[in-house]
Amino acid sequence: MFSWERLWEYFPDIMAKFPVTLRIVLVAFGTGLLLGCLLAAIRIKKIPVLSQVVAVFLSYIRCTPVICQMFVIYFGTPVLLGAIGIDTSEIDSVVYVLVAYGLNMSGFIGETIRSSVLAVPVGQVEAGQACGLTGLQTLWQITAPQAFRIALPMLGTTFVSLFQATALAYMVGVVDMMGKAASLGNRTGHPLEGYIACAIVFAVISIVLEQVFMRISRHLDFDNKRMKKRVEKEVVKEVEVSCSI
Amino acid sequence: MLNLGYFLDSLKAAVSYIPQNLFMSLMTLLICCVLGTLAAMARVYQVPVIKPICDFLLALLKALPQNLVLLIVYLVFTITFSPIMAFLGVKANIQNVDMVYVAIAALSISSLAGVSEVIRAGLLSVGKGQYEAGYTVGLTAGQTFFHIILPQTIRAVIPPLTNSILSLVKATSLVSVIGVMDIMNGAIVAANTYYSYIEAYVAAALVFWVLGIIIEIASRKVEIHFSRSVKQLA
Repeated sequence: MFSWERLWEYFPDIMAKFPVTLRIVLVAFGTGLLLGCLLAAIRIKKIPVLSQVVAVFLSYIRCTPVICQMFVIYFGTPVLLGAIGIDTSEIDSVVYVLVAYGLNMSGFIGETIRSSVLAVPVGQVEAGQACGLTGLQTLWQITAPQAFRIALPMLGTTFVSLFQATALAYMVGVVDMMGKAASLGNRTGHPLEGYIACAIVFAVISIVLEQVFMRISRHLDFDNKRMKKRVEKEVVKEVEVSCSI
Repeated sequence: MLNLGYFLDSLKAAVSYIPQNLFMSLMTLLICCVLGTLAAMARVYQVPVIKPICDFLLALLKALPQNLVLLIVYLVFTITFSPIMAFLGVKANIQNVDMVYVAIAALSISSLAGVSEVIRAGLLSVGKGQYEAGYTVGLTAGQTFFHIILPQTIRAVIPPLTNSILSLVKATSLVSVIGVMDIMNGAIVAANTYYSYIEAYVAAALVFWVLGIIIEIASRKVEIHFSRSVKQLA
């Protein structure tokens, strides 16, 4: 049965593995941001061939479960690298996890970046060009800051879901919080407390992260109140029109 | 490199489990829709006591990884099953329980927050004037809800719900952690004889990919269909 003492006893051991989870999250998100920008650029500029390849990649990332993607990379990379004569026996399994989550994130973040950039009104880019800015200057000083503000709430959600998805990494042998809980459970025959300790850590950190991202988004959302008022006016106008008909 | 024979074996096994995955995800969707609507109503209509409880529970469920919820539900179920059955005086053996239902329960718990959020947005999208219109023509609160608010909510909610079917189907791939057979597990079991795991996972990924593409196309069709009816009304 469940015992609080065991939970208390497991907790430090499990918390000690938190850096492993953190490393996966940060590396994968960083990779995702860099590669995602590249994918978004390819899709927005509609570069022939590459754009189609990226579309297929995105469809794969979106439609298959991340656990499947992880295992395909975990088992597939040694086969591929072995074919060109590279020995993979020295590679730590966490590397495969980083690659798999990095690719997964680049897909999702790439789509977020693409839709955010496209959501910036065309007039903004035209205004930049009218002021004599070069293409790069317009992108960097006009489009990017506005796109970032649009993307931030979605990026926050993606970040939290990535943090939760790392709970799968232990399945390829990475000893993170979940892996530690599983091995403690195997050793003592009481797995429940370990997983509940993990659940507490995941719940607390996810909720804190969500709040932080919400605060930042609200802080950056300069014209939120003005926008709301404008939307309300529009709605009132519409209602009046429909009533008058 | 890939062995075509093993790959086809795994692919066949994976395809044969498609109905199992669809069954699990649709049952989960059904349960989430019923419970999610109740929770969303409690939150939208500010029901005292129940609203803060729903707020807290949904925030908590949203914050937990799905495979962790599956593991915890499974462990709690196996630990408490015999005592509860003994307490109820029912003679039941845990070996006779199909774990698929435990998986569905766990998936419902972990997907509830997302589905409920979609339904809440749908309820909020129905304007206040609709309630007032209902009361003006003399309908009771219940009549207003069932005849006026609910139909409009359903129309607003179906397109985003078809999107959550995709994530539910993907989530069913996690049931292997509690030993339930599904597309991925089926492919792996077929691979156990020759250790042809790479073929198995590629086969499983392929099956999920095709399923996902079909669901995406269907949900796009549904979205177009429902947005058309909105335009006609306006």
